[in-house]
Amino acid sequence: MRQDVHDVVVIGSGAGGGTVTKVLADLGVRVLLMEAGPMVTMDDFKNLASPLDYWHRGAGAAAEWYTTNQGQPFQQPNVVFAPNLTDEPYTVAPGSQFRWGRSRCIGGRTNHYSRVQLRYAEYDFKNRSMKGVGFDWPIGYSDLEPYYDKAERLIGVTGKREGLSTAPDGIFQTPAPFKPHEHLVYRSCEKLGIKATAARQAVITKAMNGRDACVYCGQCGRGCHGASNYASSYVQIFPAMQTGRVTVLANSMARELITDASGKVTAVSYVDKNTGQERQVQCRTVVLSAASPESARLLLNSKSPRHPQGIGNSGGNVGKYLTDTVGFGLSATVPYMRGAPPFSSAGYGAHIYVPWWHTDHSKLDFPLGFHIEVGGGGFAVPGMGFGAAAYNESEGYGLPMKQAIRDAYGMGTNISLSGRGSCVPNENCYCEIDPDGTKDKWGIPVLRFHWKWSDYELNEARYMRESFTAILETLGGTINAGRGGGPGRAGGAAGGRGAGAAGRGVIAPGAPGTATPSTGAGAPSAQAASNQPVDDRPQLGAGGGIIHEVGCVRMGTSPDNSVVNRFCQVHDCPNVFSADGGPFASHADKNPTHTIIALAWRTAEYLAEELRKGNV
Amino acid sequence: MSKLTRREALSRLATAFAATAAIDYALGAEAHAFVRQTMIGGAYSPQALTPAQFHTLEQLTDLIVPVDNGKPGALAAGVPSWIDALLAVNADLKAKYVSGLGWLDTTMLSRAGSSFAGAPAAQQTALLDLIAFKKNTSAELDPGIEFFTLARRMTVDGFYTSDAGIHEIIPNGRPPLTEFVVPQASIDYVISRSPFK
Repeated sequence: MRQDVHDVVVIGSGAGGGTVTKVLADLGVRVLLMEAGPMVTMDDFKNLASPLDYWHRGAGAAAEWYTTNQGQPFQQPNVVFAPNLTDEPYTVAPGSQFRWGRSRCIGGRTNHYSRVQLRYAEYDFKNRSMKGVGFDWPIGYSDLEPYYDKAERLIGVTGKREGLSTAPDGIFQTPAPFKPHEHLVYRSCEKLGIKATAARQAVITKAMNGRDACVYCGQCGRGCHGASNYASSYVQIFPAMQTGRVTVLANSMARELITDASGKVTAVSYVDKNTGQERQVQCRTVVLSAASPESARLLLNSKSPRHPQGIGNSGGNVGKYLTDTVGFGLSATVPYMRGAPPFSSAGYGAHIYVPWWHTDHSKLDFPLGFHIEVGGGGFAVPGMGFGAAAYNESEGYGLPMKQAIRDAYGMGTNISLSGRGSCVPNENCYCEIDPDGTKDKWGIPVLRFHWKWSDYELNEARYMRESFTAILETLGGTINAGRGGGPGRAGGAAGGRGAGAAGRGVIAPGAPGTATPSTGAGAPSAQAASNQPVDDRPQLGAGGGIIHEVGCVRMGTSPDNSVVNRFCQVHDCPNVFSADGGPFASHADKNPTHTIIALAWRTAEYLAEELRKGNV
Repeated sequence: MSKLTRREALSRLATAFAATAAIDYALGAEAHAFVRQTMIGGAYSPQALTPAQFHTLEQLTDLIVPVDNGKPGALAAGVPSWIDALLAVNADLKAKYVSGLGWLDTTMLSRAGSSFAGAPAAQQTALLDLIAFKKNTSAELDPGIEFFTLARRMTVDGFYTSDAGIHEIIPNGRPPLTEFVVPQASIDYVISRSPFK
């Protein structure tokens, strides 16, 4: 039987793969979309879960809440996203800490990310020439601007036009109004000379493209039953499937790109996870959208006489200069917020955010900035145990008891600020094929990660702590002691994901479960020498902890300094393209999803044109 | 939609992509609303309690969360039937209710010569005024106090997870909402207490 030769095989279905699939399908190109996890349906997205979905309302099918105090949470877990670490391990080099938050399902991590959707600014593409650190991309803001426009018209992004050079405006959906605690943050920032603005979230507040307007359930992290936020599954892949030009190959783990004698990729070898069998699909071109390190792994595992170090790796650049977002959080208690008249406050998570506010870095001891995501406030929706603290105190019954419950019910008195900041690429952060030969369940060699934060990030985190303290104290808050205690220690929660945005999904990266675990107890080398003065900078968490790992299939001008060219086409193997965070030459003070989409859109249009011309 | 069973609704949901030319994103929310609708309202036949016991439970829950300024209480919110359904799946819990409701009747009989449900309102509240407070602990009252503590907990859980209860504590209810509105009074409350007043 003659095997089909697919024009394009897309490997991975997140923001990059979903975008490429939709754009190519709309341009008439036939796509085979390979995904290492299962298909999902709209019923997998449980954002509207309510106690009333269960006859027992959370007391449990055997009413066990009243006999064992163990009820059933009404919010059932989402479809399982994370791969099993035993089947699909990774390793971390001694002395490094790294956590890899992966997803295995159609839509990947877009099903449950926080929907923060920020355009990069010009300086984010030109760190070397404008900030003196890191690398310039071979493209600039003007190259991606039309694609940010296209992305916003398709997916919808809330926001308010502000004209800030650090946060370019887009084509915005009308944002939802600020919540009471967000008014406090806004005014506090204003007093300090910092401009806060409406959150830029991939959420639609008016119906568009057949999708419902947001219903303000605050559960974006669970995916959206009404498709009111962006996920590549329901915004791009399902509609693309309806063109009839997309074939989805789910539960299929890519193993290797197969090349011919000339070095050109002719097929993708993969494992059918349902049967464990190895198969191949023939192709004219391949798009790597497996998430940056996974794409690097595939390139490194694709060795042949013409690509002895792996595809795209003639200059030794695959896996190099991996970056992640710098994360630091601080919260405060604001008792005077209690007692505000209740309202349904979930919204779409945060309705405010604070873009980076310095354009002059001359007085700062770090070169790149951050933005702030805001959490807190809010009224809890009643579930089992509601009001218990009040009536256990007041006792009684009837109207006095109800009044006691009403009096105790109030807006949360916590406000949290989560910094999400730039990371300057450094040569100590990279991934490689594990030199000890660790393989996954299917015998595919796994990655080993190396990680080391530099002074740039540690100084940046210290400034996060200083500025967050100022914002929270200016609004009358009392800083909460964080993990590690007060000043001089961590003074806040570093590295972990904050609670700021809408309900998070279930992708907390697990610790690697392999033979060469992280060691060194996270002691930053900057603090190693005992005769140094006490380092008052927050200790940062493991690399990868914010799940914004980008780079390592980097874009540049030649194979000597990069893996792909300005169109995300592999220098050494022109029928292979990269469309995830891999091509990012540097890391911005913004979350990466929007730029992954814009860049993938541009790559897909270029690829379609190259196919039409017969160039690939 | 009202003629669909829940199974049919969910089945339609699962096959929406295969069956329709346009993706029916709204079907999920519709099925959700339908499932909620079947959970409340309608005549209820007790599954665990006898009709007499169930009637006593109705009286008790109505006293714990009464009609409040014209707004529905536990009775209108369907709390007694919800509790009875839970008793039907947990024998230990049912035993506590059978015993506790019996204690109410026995005690009322000796105090007022009638069952709890048949006693005047003043007699009912007089008894609750004793067993609704732990300070009244005594060998005689302890079985009543223990049962009332459980009944209060379940009545409050059942009431505030009902649509009626949620609307009472949060005027615009739980999502889905068609519009996100922040009451000016809530903003003013916070700002007037802040350093920015």
